Amino acid sequence: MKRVGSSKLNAVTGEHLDAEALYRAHADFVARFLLRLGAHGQDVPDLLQEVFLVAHRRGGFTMGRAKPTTWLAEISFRVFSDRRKKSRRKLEDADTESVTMAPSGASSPSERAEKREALARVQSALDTLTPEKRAVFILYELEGESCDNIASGLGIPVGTVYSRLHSARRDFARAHERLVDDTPSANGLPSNAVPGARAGARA
Amino acid sequence: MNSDPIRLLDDPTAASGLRGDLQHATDVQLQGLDLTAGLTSLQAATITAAASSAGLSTMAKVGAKVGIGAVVAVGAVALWLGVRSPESSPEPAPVAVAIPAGPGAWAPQVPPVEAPPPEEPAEGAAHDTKTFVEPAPLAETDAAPVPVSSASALEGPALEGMALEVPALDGMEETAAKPGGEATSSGEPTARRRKAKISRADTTEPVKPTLDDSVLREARMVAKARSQLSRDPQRALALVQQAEKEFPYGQLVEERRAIAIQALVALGRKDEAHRQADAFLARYGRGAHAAAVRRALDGMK
Repeated sequence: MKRVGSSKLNAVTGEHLDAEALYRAHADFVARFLLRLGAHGQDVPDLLQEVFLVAHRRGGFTMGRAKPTTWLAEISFRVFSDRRKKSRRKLEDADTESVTMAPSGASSPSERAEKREALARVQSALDTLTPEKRAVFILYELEGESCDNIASGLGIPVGTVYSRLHSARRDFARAHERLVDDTPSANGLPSNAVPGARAGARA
Repeated sequence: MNSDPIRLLDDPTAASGLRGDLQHATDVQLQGLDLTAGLTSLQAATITAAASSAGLSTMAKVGAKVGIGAVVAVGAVALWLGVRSPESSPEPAPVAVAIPAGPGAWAPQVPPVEAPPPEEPAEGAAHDTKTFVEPAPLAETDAAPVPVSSASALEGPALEGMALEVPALDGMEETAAKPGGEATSSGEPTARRRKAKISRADTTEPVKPTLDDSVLREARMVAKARSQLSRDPQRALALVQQAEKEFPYGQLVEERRAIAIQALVALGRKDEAHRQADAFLARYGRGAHAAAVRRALDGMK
């Protein structure tokens, strides 16, 4: 994956970040978030553009209200949900580059395969959550955001974050347990063979 | 933060398999995402959006920035122009009068507008407006006939001129509601109030206008070409040539020409590669893609 410019912003309260600065710093975060929400890999480049165009239209981000990541997560969630509602998914185009998440770090082929299975299980379990719970779970459990930041970014009360998170963790753990039980060995686990996988169509 | 629950990842009571999987899920990297291309098309789209919104809400923004007094002045001067338009007028066009009246915030965005030649006052007004609403050459995209519609708002006599007040007031409401916000309209350029309202309602919606779609389609085509460069340079070349035809005034001209040269190098078409590279480097020698082109040429020697 190519890096674009500096990815770290030492932004301080009151500092304004335009869409381009946000993109440089957080495009990979947004892409990850979209994929985990359930976006198709081929749709990610377009969705990514839309997210940052909306960020541009909103006049960029001023440090202080929330974190830029959770602010962008809210936009991403809207863009993703909107795309889903309109069912604009195009037929797969063999020429279109598909964005995927892969285990990082060099490891042996078997270790890589194992990590891929883990990723597939996590994604399948995420897909069983409602989009709202999924977003909170991703931000808290996988991206390490605090509940306060999630609340201010998504524009919901922190109590709602807690309750969604509580419920999401319970659902996720159950789904994950089922997936582990359904995996007899360390053999490949095609995500589309997993019950409930890609069932995030509740959007 | 302090009352946040322990993350599952760190929760010893959670199943170890669950924690292990979550650990792997946090330690990931993205593949297949070309952030550079995304940034390029974002830059192009934001510039284009700014250009198109300038056409639609130029007067709105002016009205918002300069305040009610200036809005009234615009209307009054427009009316004055309308009344006077049948006869020759040596005075500047209304837009030229109204804009410098605004606060300094607007000055950098407004290119100096010259007074029209005395021989053709009405035509001159239209031309001046055209000059004003083109903040960048990029406004000349295949889908951005911005100046035409704005200029047309000034065509004709008094009543047309008075209509300028309408978008100006719309824009004031918008800016008041969103202090510090960017102009948000990017629909098809038109000076009509209805359109302005529609695009204002779109403020928080994802971007779907034709204008941005063309940028995205072009970006997709160029991204596809780039992804094919190492695998199938012939296909990459065909794609950028197609982009050249479909988007002659596109936003990614520099990038697609760089890809074309690299594809020609990969195909061993040295003479063409050199010829195109000479033209490319003469024009974009300091650009972001010049180094890649030079590297490709060096590799060919």
